[in-house]
Amino acid sequence: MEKKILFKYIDDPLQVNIDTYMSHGGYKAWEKVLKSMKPAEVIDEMKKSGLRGRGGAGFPAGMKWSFIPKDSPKPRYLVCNADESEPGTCKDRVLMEHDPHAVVEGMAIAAYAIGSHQAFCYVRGEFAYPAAMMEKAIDEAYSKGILGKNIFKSGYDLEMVVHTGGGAYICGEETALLNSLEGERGMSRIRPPFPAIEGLYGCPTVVNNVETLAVVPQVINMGAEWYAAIGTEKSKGTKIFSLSGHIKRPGNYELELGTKLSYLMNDLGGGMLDGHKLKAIIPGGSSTPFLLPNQIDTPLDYESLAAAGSMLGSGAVIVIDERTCMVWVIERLIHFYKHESCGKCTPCREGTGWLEQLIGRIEAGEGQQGDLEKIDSICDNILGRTICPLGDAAVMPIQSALKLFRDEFQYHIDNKKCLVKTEFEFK
Amino acid sequence: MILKEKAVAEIKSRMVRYPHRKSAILPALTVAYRQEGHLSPALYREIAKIIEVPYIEVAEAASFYTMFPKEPVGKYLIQVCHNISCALLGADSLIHYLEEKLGITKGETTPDDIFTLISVECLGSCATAPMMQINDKFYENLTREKVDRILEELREQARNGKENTV
Amino acid sequence: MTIPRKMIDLNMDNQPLRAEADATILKVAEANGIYIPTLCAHKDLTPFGGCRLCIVEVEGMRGFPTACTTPVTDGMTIRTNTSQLQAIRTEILQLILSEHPCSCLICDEQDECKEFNATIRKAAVTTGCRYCSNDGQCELADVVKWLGIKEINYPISYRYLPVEKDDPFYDRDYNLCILCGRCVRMCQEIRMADTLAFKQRGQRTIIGPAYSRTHLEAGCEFCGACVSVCPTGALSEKTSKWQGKAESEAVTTCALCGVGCQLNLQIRDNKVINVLPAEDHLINNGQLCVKGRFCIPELVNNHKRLRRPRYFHGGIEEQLSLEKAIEIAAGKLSHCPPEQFGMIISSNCTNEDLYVAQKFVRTVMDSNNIDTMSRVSYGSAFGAYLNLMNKCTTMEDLRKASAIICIGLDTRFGQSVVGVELRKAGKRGAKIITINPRPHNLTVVADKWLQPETGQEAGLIDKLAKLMEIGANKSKGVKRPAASKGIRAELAEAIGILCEAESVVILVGSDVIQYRGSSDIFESIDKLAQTLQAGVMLLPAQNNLYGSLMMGTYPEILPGGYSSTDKARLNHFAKLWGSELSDSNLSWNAESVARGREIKVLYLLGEIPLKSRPAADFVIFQNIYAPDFFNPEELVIPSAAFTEVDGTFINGEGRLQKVRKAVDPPANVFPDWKILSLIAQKMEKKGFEYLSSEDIRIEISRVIMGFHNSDESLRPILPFKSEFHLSAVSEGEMVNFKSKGQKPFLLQTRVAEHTYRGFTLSAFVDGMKAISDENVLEINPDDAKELGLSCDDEAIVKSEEFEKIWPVKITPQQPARMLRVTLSPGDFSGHNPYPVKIRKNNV
Repeated sequence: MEKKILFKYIDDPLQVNIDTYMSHGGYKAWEKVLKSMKPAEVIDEMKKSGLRGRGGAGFPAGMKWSFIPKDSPKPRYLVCNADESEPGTCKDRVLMEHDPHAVVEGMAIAAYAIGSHQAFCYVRGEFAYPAAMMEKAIDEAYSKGILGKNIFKSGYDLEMVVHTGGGAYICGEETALLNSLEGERGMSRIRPPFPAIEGLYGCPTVVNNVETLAVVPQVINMGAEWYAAIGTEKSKGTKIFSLSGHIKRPGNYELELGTKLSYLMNDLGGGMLDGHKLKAIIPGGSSTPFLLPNQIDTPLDYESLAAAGSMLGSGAVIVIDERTCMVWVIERLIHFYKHESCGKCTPCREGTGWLEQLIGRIEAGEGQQGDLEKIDSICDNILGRTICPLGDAAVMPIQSALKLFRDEFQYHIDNKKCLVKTEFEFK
Repeated sequence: MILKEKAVAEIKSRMVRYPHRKSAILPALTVAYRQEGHLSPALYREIAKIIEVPYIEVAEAASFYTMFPKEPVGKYLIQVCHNISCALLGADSLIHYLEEKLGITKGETTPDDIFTLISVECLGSCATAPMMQINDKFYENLTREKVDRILEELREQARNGKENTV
Repeated sequence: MTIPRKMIDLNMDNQPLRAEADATILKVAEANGIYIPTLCAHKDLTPFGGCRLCIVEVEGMRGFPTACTTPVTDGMTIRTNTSQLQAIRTEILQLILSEHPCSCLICDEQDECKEFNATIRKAAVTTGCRYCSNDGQCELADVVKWLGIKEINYPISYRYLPVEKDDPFYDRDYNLCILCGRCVRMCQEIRMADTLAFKQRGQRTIIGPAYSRTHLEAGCEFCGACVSVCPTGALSEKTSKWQGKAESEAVTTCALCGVGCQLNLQIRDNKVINVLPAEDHLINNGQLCVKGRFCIPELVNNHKRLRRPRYFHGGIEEQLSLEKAIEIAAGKLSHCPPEQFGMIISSNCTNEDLYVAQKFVRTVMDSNNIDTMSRVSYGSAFGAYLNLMNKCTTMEDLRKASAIICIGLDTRFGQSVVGVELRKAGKRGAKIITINPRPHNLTVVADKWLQPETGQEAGLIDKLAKLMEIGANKSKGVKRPAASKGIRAELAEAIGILCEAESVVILVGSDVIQYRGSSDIFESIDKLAQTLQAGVMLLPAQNNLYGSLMMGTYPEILPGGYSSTDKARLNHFAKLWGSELSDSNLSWNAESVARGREIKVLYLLGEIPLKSRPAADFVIFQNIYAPDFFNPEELVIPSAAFTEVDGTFINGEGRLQKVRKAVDPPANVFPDWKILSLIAQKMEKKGFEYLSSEDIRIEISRVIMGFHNSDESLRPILPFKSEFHLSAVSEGEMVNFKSKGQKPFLLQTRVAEHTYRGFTLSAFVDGMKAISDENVLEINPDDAKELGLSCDDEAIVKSEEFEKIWPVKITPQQPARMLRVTLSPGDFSGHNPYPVKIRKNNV
């Protein structure tokens, strides 16, 4: 079911103003935390709520915070990952544009929980407007004494900075993001050491997604039990789904985890665009394996999607109809991943290049017998063999497409043309 | 100096917000890009001087981040998303339409230096596809009619010599 | 104080192993002789994890962790060589090879090819092909062989990048690059030079300096560290790239400056084909400068090397045997009165050569007329300089110093190893102050750059010493002096740094010598060092200057630093050498030669005092190359280079270092000490029956405590007795520059630092021409504009003493109204800076 926690005030154009935000109970959680909770209690609350990272990996947020060493003399940093770049995903942008104070408040609470006095919000470079909204919200918070020195007279200091990127998908990966934030090239770091031990500037760091942080104030206000009661047994709470592609009413929808995909597509999304037949669904952003039409009743939660052979990912549901050539879809995606590979690991750097060439030539009608086997082997070569998940992300949709639509690829090679081919026209 | 006083002041004000000034490289590149529309080695040199880091550190970072054009572009840089969600809703035809309207092919700049057309990867505007970004502004749910209007408005702005609205 | 690390137990390939906790799997494997292929890991560099070849299987761990990045833990079970791992590695390597022109690596004809090995002769005598200079020393090829790859499933894509050959010393072919990032990490992490970086990203990633600048423009030090770690042929030495793989190695001490770096000479066919840094934690820590890394093969293998003695007599040139040459030399010398003889010896010679030479002069020639050219190069400062030498500190102290003052030092090309230490010091928090009138490579490293006017360094250092003294007199808790009328703000800042420093080291480069009044500088430095209780590290260009002092190759100095007029000492040496010794004849020295004083026989052992023929009836010229000047009465004797002899040097720290014979000298060419001994024996003098340099060392050890030490690792620091007094080089009066109107132009002349036995390296090493500005007039752009000079012009420079024509080089670093010219040794020197008039040479 649709359930608006994050989106409670999303339609209120004044929500971006701090006064409106506060009149809706904003910054109450921050005040409560500062005045009456110990950092460990905040972390406990988070653990109890069962909130999992909404960036794609789904790692429990409270657990992540608890990894920060208690006795490190180094400063700690909180970083909000707003480098939203996974194709199909456009939810964080909406939160920053329409409810930036919720993100600020969530960042503040998370910072306090890990003992950080300096938080950064890394916004992708193209998001000039969302970044400006975040900066405005932070300025407002400073002017009200909600950020800065001795907040709410608690003696706690917190500085918050918006940092903008420069157009690199890889910077959504947390270690590459940290490098980028340090002014380096956005290349992933080797783990261990993990960011919780040696992150930003070599200091303990937590990196959380915008959506994860934005819901934190609600969890504090309403209590972990309340939040944990929403969703399924293992997938707690709500999640924003970005619905795009061949669908009547694309958009961002907040659903209770465990809601059926068909509810999102049909009840909220209004069904297929122009009544065409469904061919495939990418359920969690471009790097997740495809679902087939017969899987449309899969509940949208971490476990059910995994059982269906895919992933919840970032919650970006891309709907593809019968007119679409799957080779063309895959070509689009591999072009993207090749463009975004940082170039550090051999398999990803060279592999994505070769995949683009091979898939490109099949799409161009120049495919040769044996190409599919070659693609299989390159995919095997990349999957699990790189420092960061970009390699896996590039390969998963390809492997899935080759599994589910292999005939279509073979047809392309044999007949040097698409099985179905529509030049999609914009209106 | 290519960077104007205001830009230098902004870089400096951003620099002090970080525990290590090297972090200001990306924000500084952004400031420089906003002023000039593209980046160049001369700008890297100025930035390196302001932030007090070696020139090469600015240059290597700049070369990694593809958002900043490294060659001069028109007054308005049109970036059309060609990634999957937009492509499903006709991004390719949008690009062709723009090519026809502007009389240039992708990657080119109009002779009057007003428009440069390129295609880019996903810009996080998937539920409002197809879309394009012109300088820093997103234009979403594009239709032919909307594109016509946008181009007309921008042309008008350029004719009136208005400042870059970014 | 290293805390012993925790040891843990693990199992690798069914072998139980014990290892340090926190070591990586790769390090543990290497230490236990288990080979894991890798192309991006390197022992000196931080793990990169990029090539992915070193993947292993670890029980209980997901997937295939990389050995170079995964630390071992207690009880870990690791498999490094399963069939699955090999299959994956094969696939990954194929991907690497798909972008690396590699037909030679998998060619069917490989074995046959070896037999009919390729040649670079023009004649078609081979069926093989040679695409890559790295043949036989390619790490990529090693892994291909190890994995047994016979074919590549991908088409080879060639990147069509132009091969970059414009910079000196090494070529770059990025078509062969596999993006392992070793060179970048070397340049950034170890050298901290920031020349190389990754550019672009993904498959388009490329390595190089930023934005199409050449390495020369990008500030590259040409240390070659990147070339040493390149696993492919992407980076290759220009001169040794086609020489193939070395057959053996020899560790020796570099003879090209006083730092005393340890070299690893690469040898093939009795030739030094390449030079790599030796692992040496005392001195250079596995690093070298451009001279040590790139210049030696061209220097010692040059086709211009002297091979046979030559005798110029009555207008005829005669080639003769060494025996005959010895006979002629002995004949000439036995008829030469003591006061009519003089020898100038190079401080590039080994201690053994130097010792035998001074013994030869003192016992065979009954004279004290032996000197080095340093007396002329250092001018009036020589005495003060040698005195400072006795207070030398060590590289170890430099590594611990909390503040470092650099005076007249530029470490880009010479002493770049010290430059690395400075950058490391800066990184660990030490404060660095540099004093230099010109912008130089340390300005970016230093916390404070004090920029006195040229020639005014002494005043500035004096002032610093005085202000520090005032600070030191006040009891503890010295406050930073505030900038006031008397104290410039920047001086106050420097003092603030020094007040907070716990230990200070002063580095002295060669830019401060050769000034009029530079003895004042060394006295000021001495004063400053005393006030700060700082160690001083002199960085002389002459590698064995310290040795020349210890061996006593000066009229005033006996071995050990004793005065040659000290009767008791003279008697001691007379007894030791079994010969009468003279305490007179102290009126001749190297300056006499520079000033043209005529004598009967001048023995030039590895030195060239003047560009023209020195004034002497007869000249014996003993060197590795022939002199430039034609001499009607001259004997030329070839001698061995430092790569061809055993012996010792003493570096600027005062440390005794081994010189090891790596290759044989050319046939019938001998070390200097041997030639001198043969002449002495021919003259029927006793005391020169040495069979080896070891014999000489034993004799020296009777004079100098601690000199002969069989324990090679010890390398003691040898202090000398500062009992001598040097006669000063005469100087002209300091000109009063405070004339009305505009300041006159001042010309600073300096002697090229990259010399060996009187020759500049640029005369024999191609690349050095590109990085040294010899015989060009450096001038500030504004001054050049005022004088109407542009880059291709020549300028006539006139002083009271000379008129010279030099090509103009416009140098933004040059201070206003200051001109600078770098000359080869022997050109002219001493009176510095010169007030000059300058105009354009209208050809």
